[in-house]
Amino acid sequence: MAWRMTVTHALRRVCHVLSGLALAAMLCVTLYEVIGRKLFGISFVGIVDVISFCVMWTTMLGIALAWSQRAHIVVDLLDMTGSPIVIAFLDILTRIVGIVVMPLLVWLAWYEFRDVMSFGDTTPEIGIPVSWFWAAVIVGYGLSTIFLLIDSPRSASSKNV
Amino acid sequence: MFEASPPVIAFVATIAMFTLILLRIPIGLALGLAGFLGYSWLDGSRRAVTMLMALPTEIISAGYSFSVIPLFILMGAVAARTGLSAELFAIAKAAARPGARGTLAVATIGACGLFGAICGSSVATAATMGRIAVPEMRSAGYSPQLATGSVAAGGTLGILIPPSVILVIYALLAEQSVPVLFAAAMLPGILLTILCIFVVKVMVFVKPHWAPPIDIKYAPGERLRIVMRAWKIFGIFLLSIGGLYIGWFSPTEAAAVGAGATILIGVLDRRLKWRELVSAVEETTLTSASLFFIFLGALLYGRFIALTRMPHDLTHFVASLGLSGDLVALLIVFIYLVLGCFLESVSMVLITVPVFLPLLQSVGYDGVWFGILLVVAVEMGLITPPVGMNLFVIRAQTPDVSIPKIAAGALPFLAAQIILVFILVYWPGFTDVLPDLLKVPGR
Repeated sequence: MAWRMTVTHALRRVCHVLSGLALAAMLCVTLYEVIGRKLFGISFVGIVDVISFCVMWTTMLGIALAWSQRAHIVVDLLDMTGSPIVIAFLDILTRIVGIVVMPLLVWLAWYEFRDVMSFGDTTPEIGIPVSWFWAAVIVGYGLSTIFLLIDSPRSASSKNV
Repeated sequence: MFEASPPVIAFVATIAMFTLILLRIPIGLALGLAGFLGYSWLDGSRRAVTMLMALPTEIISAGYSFSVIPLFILMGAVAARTGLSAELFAIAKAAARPGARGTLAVATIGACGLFGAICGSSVATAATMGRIAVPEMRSAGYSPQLATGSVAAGGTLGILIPPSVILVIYALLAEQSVPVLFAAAMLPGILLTILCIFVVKVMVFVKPHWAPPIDIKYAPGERLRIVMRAWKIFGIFLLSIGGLYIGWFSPTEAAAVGAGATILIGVLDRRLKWRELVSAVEETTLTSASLFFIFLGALLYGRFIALTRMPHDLTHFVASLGLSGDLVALLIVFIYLVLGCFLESVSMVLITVPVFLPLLQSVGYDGVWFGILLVVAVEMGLITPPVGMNLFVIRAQTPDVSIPKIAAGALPFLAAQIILVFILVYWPGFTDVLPDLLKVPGR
C-alpha cells in the first residue's frame, strides 16, 4: 500500500539524518577535543557525556533502521533451502517475535523514563538529563515497532551470515 | 514455574537460543530472549525485569567506550570508498617479486594486510579488495579458486591487524584494555600475513597452472615510486594507532583521528564525494547498531549464564578431568571451528566469552592472550563453509564462481591459521612481546 511506503520512507529518512548527525557530532566533538587539547591546551568539558549521548541516539535510531532494512545480523541457513514458503514463514516468525518484544521494551523504558524524569537525574559532568538518554531508547524501540508493523513483507535481503 | 536445577536451565535456554538463531531470529533478539526467559525461570520475572532495565543505564555509562566501535567502522567505511584499495593493490604488486608465479595472489594478501591497518572489519576488507584483486587475477589467467580464495583468506587479516572491531567488542565484554589488545594483535597479524603468503607459494608450487607467471614491466625506479605512495596508509595508521601508544589519544580519540584523517585524505585526493560520505555514514550507523543490539542481548545472556554458575561449574568439571591448559585451549579452538561453521563472528565472541574466558583463566591463560586466540579462531570461521561470511562476500562479487570453488581456494589458508593457533597455545608469551616492549599502560 502506498501510504505504508510513504510513511516508511519518511521515517527512514528522518532516522538516517538524525543518526548521521549524531555520528558526525561524535566525530567532530572528539576531533575538537583532541585539537584543542594538543594545540591550544584547552579541554572540552563534558565530552564523555556528549559522546555517550550521541552514541545512544546513533545506535538506538540505527536499531530501528536495521529492523526496517532487515539489516540485523541473522543466520540464514534455512534460507538456503530456497523454499519461498520457508522464507516467508521465517520472516513472519521474526516479525511476530519482534512485534511482541519491542513494544514490551518500549513500555518498560517508559517507566524508567518517568522515574528518571521525576528524580531529575542528570549526567555527572555537564548535567544532561538522563531522561534524554531514555528518550533515545523509547524512540529507537518505538520506531522499531512501527517499522515491524508497517513494513511490507520481505523483499530486501538481510545482512546474512 | 517448573522447577529445575541451574545447569538444566542453562542448557535449555542455550538450546532455545540456538533454535531461535537457526529460525532466523536476529541474533541480538535471540540472545536477549534466551537470557531474559532463563533469568526469569531461575530467579523470578521481577528480578529479570530489574536486570533488563539496568542494561541501558550501564550502556549509558559505557557509551564513551562504545564510541570506539562506530568511529573505527566509519574509518573503514570511508577507506573502502576512497579508492585506497586499488592503490594498495598496486603498491603490494610493486613490492612483490614481478614475474614470479602467484605474484598477484601474494600482492592480494599483502594489500589485505595493509588495508586491515585502516579497516577493522574482515568483511569490509574482503569486499573492498575483492572488487580490485579478483578481476585482475582472473584476467591474468589465475584459477578462480586461487583468485577468490586468496581474497577471502586475506580479508580475515582485517580483524586481527589493529584496529579491530572484534577486539574492541571483546575488550568491552571482557573488561580488557583496547591498547594492550591492539599491541598484542600486531605481531600475530604480521605473522599470519607471512604464513598466508607462504600458503600461496605452496599452492602455486603444487598447482602451477593455478597461477601462470605474468610479466609486469616497470620503468627504472617506478616500483619504488609506487611503493612510496603507501605513505597515506602508514600515515593514517601511525597517527591513529601510533598516537594511541605514545599516549596522545584515548582509543575513542584514536578512532576519531583515524576516521578524520581518512576523510581528509579522501577529500584532498578528490575521491570522496558527498554521496560516498553519506553512504559511509549510513553503513556505519547500521553496522554499529546491529552490533550494539547483539551486544545488549549478549549482556543479558551473559548475566543469566553467570547466575547459573555455569562457567564456575564448567571450570570445576574441567579441573576434575585433569586436562592440561594447552589441551583445554586447543579444545576450545576446535569448538570455535565447529561454531564458525554456523555462527557469524561477533555473535560467536559474545556468546562464548562469558563461558570460556573464566575457564581459560583458571588454567593459567590471561584475558589478552585469549582475545587474540579468539580472533584467530573466529577468522577460521570466516572461511569455513557453510556460513563462512567471506566466502559469501566474494561469491556476491563473482557470481560465476561457486561457493565450493571459493572454499576450495580459501580452505588451504586454514593451515596458516592453525599454525598460528599452535604458536599461540604453546608460546602464550608471543602476545606479550609488543605490549611489554611498548610498555602499554594497563598491562
